[in-house]
Amino acid sequence: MAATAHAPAFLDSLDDPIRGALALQSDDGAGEGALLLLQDVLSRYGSRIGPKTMHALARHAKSAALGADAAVRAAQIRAIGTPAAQWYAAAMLESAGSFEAAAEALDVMDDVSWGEERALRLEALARNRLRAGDAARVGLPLRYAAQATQTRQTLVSLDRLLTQAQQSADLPVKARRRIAVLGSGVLDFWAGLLRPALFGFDIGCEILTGEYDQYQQEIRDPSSRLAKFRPEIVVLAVNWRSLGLLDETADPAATVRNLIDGMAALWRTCQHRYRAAVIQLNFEIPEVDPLGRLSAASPGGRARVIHTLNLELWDAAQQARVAVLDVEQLAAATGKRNWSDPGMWIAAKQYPTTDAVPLLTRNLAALVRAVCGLTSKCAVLDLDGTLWGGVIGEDGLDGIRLGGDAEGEAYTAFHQYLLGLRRRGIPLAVCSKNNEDDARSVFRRHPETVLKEDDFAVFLANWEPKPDNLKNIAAMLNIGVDSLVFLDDNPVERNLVRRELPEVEVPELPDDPARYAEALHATYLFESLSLTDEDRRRADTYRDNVLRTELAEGSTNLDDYLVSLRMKVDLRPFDETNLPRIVQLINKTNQFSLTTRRTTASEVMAWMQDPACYTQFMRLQDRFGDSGVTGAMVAVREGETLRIVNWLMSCRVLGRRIENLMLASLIRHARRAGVAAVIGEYLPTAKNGQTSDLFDRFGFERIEEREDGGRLYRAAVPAEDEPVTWCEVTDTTAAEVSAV
Amino acid sequence: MTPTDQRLQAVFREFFNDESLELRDGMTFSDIRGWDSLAHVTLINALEAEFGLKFGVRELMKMKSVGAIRQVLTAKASAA
Repeated sequence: MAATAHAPAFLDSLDDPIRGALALQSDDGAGEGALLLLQDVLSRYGSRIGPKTMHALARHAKSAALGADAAVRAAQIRAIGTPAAQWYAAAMLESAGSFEAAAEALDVMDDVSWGEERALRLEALARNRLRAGDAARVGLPLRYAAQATQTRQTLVSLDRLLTQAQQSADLPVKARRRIAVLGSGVLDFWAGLLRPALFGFDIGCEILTGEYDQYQQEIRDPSSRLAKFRPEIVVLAVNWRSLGLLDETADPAATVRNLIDGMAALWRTCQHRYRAAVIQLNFEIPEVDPLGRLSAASPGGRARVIHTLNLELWDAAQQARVAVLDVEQLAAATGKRNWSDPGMWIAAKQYPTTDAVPLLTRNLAALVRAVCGLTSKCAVLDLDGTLWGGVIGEDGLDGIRLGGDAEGEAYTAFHQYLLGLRRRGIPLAVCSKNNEDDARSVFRRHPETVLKEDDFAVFLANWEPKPDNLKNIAAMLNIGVDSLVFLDDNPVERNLVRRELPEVEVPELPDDPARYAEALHATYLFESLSLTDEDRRRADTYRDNVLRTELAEGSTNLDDYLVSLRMKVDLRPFDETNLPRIVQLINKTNQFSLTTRRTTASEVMAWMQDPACYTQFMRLQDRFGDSGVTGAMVAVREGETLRIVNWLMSCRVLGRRIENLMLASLIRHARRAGVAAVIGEYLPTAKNGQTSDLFDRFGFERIEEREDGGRLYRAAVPAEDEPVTWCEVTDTTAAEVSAV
Repeated sequence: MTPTDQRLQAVFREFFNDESLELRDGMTFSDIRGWDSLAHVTLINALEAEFGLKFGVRELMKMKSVGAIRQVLTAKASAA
């Protein structure tokens, strides 16, 4: 066929004109005419491209880059300006070995969309930086690509890049864990891809993948690979086929009980032998069944038994402090016919399918993040275009779209979702470029608004740069900037925040406001292990703290202020009821934290039963409300001394001298137990600087100072308590007084 | 090379991360670094994604060499 300078008209009728044109080109060679055609196509059809087109363009660019003038041609093509042209030019530069130039082109390229296309661009950016010898700047694009990708193929590439980058640079992460993935089926198809998925959440890991169907032996055998690996987290991924359920089970209740007992025995071994946290996958209810829909209706039908099993599993797991990953929900979300493939199961024991891997690994990674105590803490919201359509400052109360029509109702639906987050304890904050009065008027007076003014813990509507406002919000709520999730419909603002504050999570939002809730949900940033009463109260607590701050600003001295709060402090030994909250607190607290030793529920239960252990949790109420369990302390008797191994308080109750009460209570116990001295310990972290001189302030003597900044302190136990006048204290932690 | 052959080669190169890979019909597992039974399954997945089709168990049993994969692909393409 003759060289054509301009795209032939029929391309318009193709689903994917760019790939059509590339197919024409393969017959045509790489002459001048071919180049003109390519340029025309990239310009005409290149503003929105899908992942398949991106792959095809990259392949084509590789063959086109072989000529000596690759750099010149790449510059020509890049000048066309469409995302397709920029992508093509970057691929040419990469093939020609100009990795730095390719990385630069990819860095400034606008994302075509917020899904796989974005992942492919970021993956290419990371790859080119790595090849250019810039491994130190590979971490962020890798992390964002891992958050965005929807294909296993890209996860595999990211895993490869991650491994290579870690060989030449230290990529910092917030936490590292040894994770064993055990279960049935060939787990190698997906277990290793937890690595990139976790990196997307800023977590590093070492993965041990269990052998096919060997999980029982691996867990029980004390000399197994698993034992040598010393897992901190064990993931039990057993698929429904291994349950051995008949189409109809004769005694379904007993069957379910036996299955749960079997799982619980494995959990206990993991918890006791390895002190590991356990994540159990629940079970898909298969679509194909000889009983058809009656499988769920008949008492012993497989579908009904698995339904029951899944329900009872939630309860059993909660009791055993095991986290459940809802595979049945993931399978439904994927579509069960895409979740599993009968041929691939029979031929290769692959379950779930390749297509299902990104959703599975991302959800599992989010649960691991929760186990690490890294769940995000606050949703920060832009206003115009995010919480309503239009611009309040220009369109006015009557002009913005909120409720009323389909677009407006998409925004009120998003309000409902956010209100739900607030009710479960995620405080909301506003960060918007607006006049404050304009912004507040919507929540005060708009008839359709679901969110009201006092649903927000912090409200910053001003003209300062958003990164500054975000820092202020974190400071006002007394949480880390890395606990914030920032939602903004404007990609320029999103990128600005990512650039200035990479520790803030900034999810991509789609164009359609009806999909905002789905997009936020699919980040899994607020996935947590349990919902405690403290969680449900927390959003109020944050807001009340802002009120307390105002009261404090009106008081002349701290004593007056503390008295005016009318605090009631309850100090009690750890108990079963409060165990989930205590574990959560120990694993989440960063700032007022002397040793920041993380722990598992099984470890805490062991402390509770150990007579040499002193445990104390603190619960605080005041005139503004109940802050719930917000402090914990663990000390161990060592001969004549009592050593504080863990001591922490939630940032929500700081600045109220509660630490004095917690320490006084421990000392009271020490005296009654006949202990001569208390040993304190401080281990520095990036965030606990405010406690570095805590023991000094309490008059402890430094007895050891280590190179890493860690310190040991000692104080003799005084003969009497200091009186407390500024609040009401109930303390049941101290040892029984022997009859005096 | 037919367009199908080109795509097949591109999938192999991307999958095994080796840009110099030149496919020949006689190639089997031992001829390509990293082509083991585990990788084979995900390679098949990648081919399914590339060509927008699903292989059945009979085809899976056959596809143990580059030549056999080409044959199955060509047969599938002409049947479509």
